[in-house]
Amino acid sequence: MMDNQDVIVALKKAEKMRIEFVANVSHELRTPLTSIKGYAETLLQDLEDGRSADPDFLKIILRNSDRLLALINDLLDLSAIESGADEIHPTELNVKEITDHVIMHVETLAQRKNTRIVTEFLAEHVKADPKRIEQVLTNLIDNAIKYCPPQSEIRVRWTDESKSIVLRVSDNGPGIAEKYLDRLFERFYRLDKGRSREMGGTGLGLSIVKHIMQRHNGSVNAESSLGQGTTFVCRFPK
Amino acid sequence: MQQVLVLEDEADVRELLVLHLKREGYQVQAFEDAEEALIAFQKNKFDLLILDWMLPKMSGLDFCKKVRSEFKTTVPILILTARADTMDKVLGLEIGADDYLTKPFEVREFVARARALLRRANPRANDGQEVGPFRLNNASKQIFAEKQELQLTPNEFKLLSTLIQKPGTTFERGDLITLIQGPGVAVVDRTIDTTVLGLRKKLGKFADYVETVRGFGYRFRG
Repeated sequence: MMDNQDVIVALKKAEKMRIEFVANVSHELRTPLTSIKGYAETLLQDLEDGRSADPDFLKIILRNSDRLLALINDLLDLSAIESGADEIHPTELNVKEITDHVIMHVETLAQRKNTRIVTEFLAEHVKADPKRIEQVLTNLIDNAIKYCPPQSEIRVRWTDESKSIVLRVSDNGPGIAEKYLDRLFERFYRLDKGRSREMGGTGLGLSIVKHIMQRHNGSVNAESSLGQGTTFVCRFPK
Repeated sequence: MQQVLVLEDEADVRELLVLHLKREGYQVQAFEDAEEALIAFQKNKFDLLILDWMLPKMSGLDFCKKVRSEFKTTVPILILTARADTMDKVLGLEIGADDYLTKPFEVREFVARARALLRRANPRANDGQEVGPFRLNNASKQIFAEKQELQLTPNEFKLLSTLIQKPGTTFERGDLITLIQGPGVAVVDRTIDTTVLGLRKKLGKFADYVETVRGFGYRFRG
């Protein structure tokens, strides 16, 4: 049980995290808006000055609008999952069906990078919310495709272990140093900020996975070492 | 030509800043990484530093602190940031920035602030060439008509300043088109007429100073 001192420390920590989160959200929203506003203004000015509009400016506006939309969607999602506003309805699901369905959606991206996705099903069913488990699978597989070099191999493996059904998404990419592993699930934490944005990442994907797993009374963790690839392990209680 | 250093890790924003600074006629060196920018800062003489606050390794604020304390530079510094809190602005200014602009900003405001900082840092830029009721200040990119500053677009400025500097000389349309052609811009033949039209409107009672030389181009009344 926590004493008063512990409660004060915990509250201060929570408040600090809240302030940091608000600052991060502000930064992440304002940055694409700067490009949207700036290039729109430039186009308008160029048209007023009789210059022909540069189509690249329109592409930049579109790209940054997409980035903004992805961020807003992820923020709303995270908020709904965290607050419990979005109810979780765990049902018995066929793991092969749900995995194949997600892979179908990320296949184009995988093909573009010549990445092979290999599946292995040593469990048949898992009790989870269909919409949210799809999100977990999509975020983990999508991340693996995006951050691994071309011609990588991604393994999606389901196993039936004593107390839980376990999903492992592994890649044979460059791996992540141990000191960063816990931070991966923090909101807006990015190992490589530039690359993450280039890939269209919002910095919230893994945090969403963590909260979905918590809502299922399960857990997620990452196992990795440099040069050895990375594995994300999700445990769903039976 | 005045030199500007831009440090911004967001490629789209960086290119936007460079585009507009170049259109203003400044020479620009742009960097994504603070360490590279620091090396360039030590090798070259800059008239203005434009720094983004939130950068992955060394922040723009640390960069600012470093150049002020270690290199004792007095070069004007404009901080760009997505942090809109008053305390952040105070911190930025206390650490040695001369001005602070919150993202998202208006491009026109950004350019005006950059211009103002360059003007303040170089008081001689206030000297200028006087022709009739006009006074041209090339360094600060300003033109005054009877002491009233004309609010010109970069193209209008380039055009009028070129004409003012050689009163009575006829400039061919082709030469003027080349003159106002900036980076990232496709100029059509009609551009020059549109620019002159807009310029004349802004000149009001002084519009006659820009004369059309039929079949050739334009000249400033000598």
